Amino acid sequence: MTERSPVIFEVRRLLDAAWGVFRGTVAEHTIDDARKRLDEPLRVAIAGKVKAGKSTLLNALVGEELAPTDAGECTKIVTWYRNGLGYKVILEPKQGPARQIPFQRERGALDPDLGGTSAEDVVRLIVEWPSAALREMSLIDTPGIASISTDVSARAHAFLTPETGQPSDADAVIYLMRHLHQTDLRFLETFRAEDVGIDTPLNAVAVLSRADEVGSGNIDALGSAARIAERYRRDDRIRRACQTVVPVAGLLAASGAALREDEYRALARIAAGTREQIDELLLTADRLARASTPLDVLDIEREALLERLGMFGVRISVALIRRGSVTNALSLAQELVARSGLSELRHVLLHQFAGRRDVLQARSALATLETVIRAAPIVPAQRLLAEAERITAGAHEFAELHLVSALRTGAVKLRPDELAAADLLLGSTGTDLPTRLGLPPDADAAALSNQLGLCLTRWQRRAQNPLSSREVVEAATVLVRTCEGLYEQLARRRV
Amino acid sequence: MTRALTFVDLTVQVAQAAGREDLVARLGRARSRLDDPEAKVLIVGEFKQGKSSLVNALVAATVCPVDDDIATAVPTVVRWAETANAELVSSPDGEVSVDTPESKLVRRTVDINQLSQHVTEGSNPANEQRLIRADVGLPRAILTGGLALIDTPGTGGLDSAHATITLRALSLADAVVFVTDASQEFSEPELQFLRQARQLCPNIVVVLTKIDFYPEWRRIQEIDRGHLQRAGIELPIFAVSSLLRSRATQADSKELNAESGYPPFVSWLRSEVVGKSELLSARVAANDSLAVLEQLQSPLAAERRTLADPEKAREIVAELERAKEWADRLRSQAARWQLTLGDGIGDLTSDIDYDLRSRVRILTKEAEEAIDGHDPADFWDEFEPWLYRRCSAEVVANYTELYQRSNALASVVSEHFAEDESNIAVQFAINDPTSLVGSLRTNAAIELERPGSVAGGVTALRGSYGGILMVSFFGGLVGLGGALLAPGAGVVGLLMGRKTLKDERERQLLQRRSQAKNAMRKYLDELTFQVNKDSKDALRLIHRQLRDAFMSRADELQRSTTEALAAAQQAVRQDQSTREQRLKLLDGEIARLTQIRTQVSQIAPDLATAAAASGVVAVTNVPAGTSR
Repeated sequence: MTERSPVIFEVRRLLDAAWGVFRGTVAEHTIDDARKRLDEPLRVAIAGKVKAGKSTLLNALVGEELAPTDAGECTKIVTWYRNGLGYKVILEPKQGPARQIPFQRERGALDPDLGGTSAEDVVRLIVEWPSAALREMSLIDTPGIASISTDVSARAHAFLTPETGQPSDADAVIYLMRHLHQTDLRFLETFRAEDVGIDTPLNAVAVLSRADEVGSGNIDALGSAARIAERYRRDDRIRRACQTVVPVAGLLAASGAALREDEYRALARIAAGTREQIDELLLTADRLARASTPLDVLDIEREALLERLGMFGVRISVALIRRGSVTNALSLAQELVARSGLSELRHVLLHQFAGRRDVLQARSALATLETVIRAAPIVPAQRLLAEAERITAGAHEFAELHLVSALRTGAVKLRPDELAAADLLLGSTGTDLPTRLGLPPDADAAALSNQLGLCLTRWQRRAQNPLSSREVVEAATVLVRTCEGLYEQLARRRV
Repeated sequence: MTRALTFVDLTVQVAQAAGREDLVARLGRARSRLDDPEAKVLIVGEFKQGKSSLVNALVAATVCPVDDDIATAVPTVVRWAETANAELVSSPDGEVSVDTPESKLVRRTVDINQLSQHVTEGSNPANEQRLIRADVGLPRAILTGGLALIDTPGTGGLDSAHATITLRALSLADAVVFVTDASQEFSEPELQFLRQARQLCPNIVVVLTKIDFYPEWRRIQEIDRGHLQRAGIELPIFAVSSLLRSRATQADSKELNAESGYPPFVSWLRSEVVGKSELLSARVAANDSLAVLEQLQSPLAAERRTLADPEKAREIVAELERAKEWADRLRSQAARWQLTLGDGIGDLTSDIDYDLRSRVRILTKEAEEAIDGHDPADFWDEFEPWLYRRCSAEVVANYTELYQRSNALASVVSEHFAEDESNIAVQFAINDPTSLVGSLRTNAAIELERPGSVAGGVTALRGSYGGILMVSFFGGLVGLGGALLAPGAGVVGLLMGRKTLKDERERQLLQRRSQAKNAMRKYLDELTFQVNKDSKDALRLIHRQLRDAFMSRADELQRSTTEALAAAQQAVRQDQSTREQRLKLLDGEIARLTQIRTQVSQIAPDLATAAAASGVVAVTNVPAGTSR
């Protein structure tokens, strides 16, 4: 675990004080949870419309087929996946205490036995699973929004939009969206950042999911998906709501990561056919699964491949094998995962979410505390509230968060080049030092120091310029402090 | 079809011989409908579901552009033509309404291969060129019989303001093809759209596309079928692969075509859409022919009766005078049908207007409450789509009202007209029961002609493409850029004291709320204005068309009765020998007309059966009766 920022210590002290105030009341438990939460991994919710591929993406991120996926609507209960020592599933009902429940695995996917409790009466399921990926962040799978089954939709909504004033259970969100039209009004609905109690674009990332299905699975689908994501990224409305848009072919990522040798061999036997034979077979999904073919591959194998990789996955795998770019299951798996966009998403999550863990968790904790105090307005609690406000107003990390959203919404008027530089400096693209300064990752200390100096001067000048508006002066002041902070980081790097 | 044409032509000859150019004109309209039939099929669905690919695969040509990202921005109408051609249609002033006549529009011929450059968003962002539609003609067998495929833009999604326009177009289409792809089951907006569409167009099918790519398409089809069943709208679902269909065309392969799933869909289009529309045109033609023959025969019959029974001549002339009086009255401003129509349109106009205004008033109130309860900066992104969706729902409800009530009005007017008409018929020839067929037929015709008759309420607008493809350029909510609504207090707060900050925040919040309310009201005003104008235009057009249609019928009747009266008066003055000669001539003429009538009624047997079932003696009995 990396060194934690001072704001976490301040928040922890505050929570300790609050625990003292609320001990013995109903809120004791909530405060205690909030305190513990500071030491846990970041909680990231995966949200989006029905059938956007949320469970598939979760499986891809975990690297294991845990969440059940299906052609029909599937996820109906909010399910938490977090790192644990053993394998267990805990059910939290609306009434009564949480209990551990038995589960089976059907072709990898978890099939928990609710033991007679109906889905409506379940608040959430918690899956504890030993996994390196879950050590970084806990993942929360949510039912789809705009489901025909209104119950299911409501359950997703209740999670993402808790009772007014309640802080959300998630620290950050991955929004999944399918290819949408640029004038589509629901385009905006997909990004209900406020719903999750979040007013900064910094803890939301959008994923253009099912990227392999763009244009009905042309071999160039991922190229098209990348172009579409680029278009979304430039859209002001999206910039206001989330940091970036990453195209991900979830099925390719999930199945690619767990590709087996026998699957590779079946693909290789298809690839060994003539051009015509292959084209014939791969023309439609029905043919691939059922048609008779001179190629040496059983229909049961083909059907399995189709289910695992999808039409696009099979087509691209066969093309890669034929081209000789891959020669075994491992290299094909690597190639598929690389093309799926999963590693880009991981990179973004690591740098944007994990890299901001402290400030995001501090925000969540302060929000919880505020709710508790509002519910029980006793005198000593008012002091806590003032202290919480002091932290929010004083911590530089929070100022940075505000500035990012102010810049992206256009509340602070800067020249386009300044805007880009400021966005970079605030870590919108990556929180590591070279990225913030717009330098290559392998830049040496001298180059970093030099560039940082330029940045500092630039923003100092801007802050002192009498022609700058009040907002710009304030923004520049924040940026100067950011530069100073980066100097400290640079100094530590040297040590 | 050709049989219907033959009889119409035969009837035209008879009418010409009788010097009744008014009846010839009526038949001319029926004839042109037979000659140049049209069955409009609207292709609708969410963005990127494969609507354009479907049209392309149907006509085996790339007429609608297909791209991974860019979408169609302008509707494209694909019809039959001898040679392939394409035209862009725009309006000179950029304004289009339901009653914009086709002749006012500007047409520009373009290379059919370059069409995609004009109709996609890339080349024509937000429809800068103000195109109304693109017309494409192709020499394809599938398009014969007047099939017109209309590819609609997928912009906006099914629950947006844009969809409102699409929904209105539905009521003017002969059939609707709802396109959804096999990647997932129906979403809630899709189902909602189908539910509404069902009220406006009876002929809808669902086409499940991209079955070549999604292995689970059979399950999706099943799930969708279940959704439709539960929603109480059972529609046929065709599963197709446009990719396979295109391959099949290239390779000229029957097997591939069969595999594509297109053949059942194509035969549905041919039989249920083109076939039905042809049947309807044939019926309308048969109906018109019968009515014309009836009117040609009645003066002859009157004359014959006077000649055959001179003692009763005075009586007969008196009856005919009464019939003429009735006919005159039918033409006058004070005729019951005229009053019903005039009052009805007046009431409808004010009711529809009131309905819209009260809907908008309620909506405004709700919106204001929502704005007062929140900070617009926080909830605007949510509010905006909500407002659009609510507006869309209200406008559609208002339109459905207009649609249903104007159709109801049309049938009441028809009934009133028919009742008066039957008075004439009764006076016209008391002893000749065949004349009663005339009145009965009018009633039967109302039943079977709807929809598609000249006198069919909103369906009266079908003739104009302006109505079906009306693109209203609704602006969105204006004047609310991100900067205005941005929660700038975050930055301000960095340096300001807490008290000042609080005041500043409150001031900003109030300002944001009043900005939001202004924008909302402005938008609703604009919307009310637009929708009101559209409804008024539509009602005016309906009024005009109904009035003209019934008026020309009344004119015909008046002329027929006048001629019958003159013939009867003439007959009274004849001497014995001329009388007998004339009688023979008339018998021959009446027999000939009756024969044609019998044959025409075979084209539309239900017309004859309707008459027979009502106890009216079949037309064939007339010669026997007259030669007693």
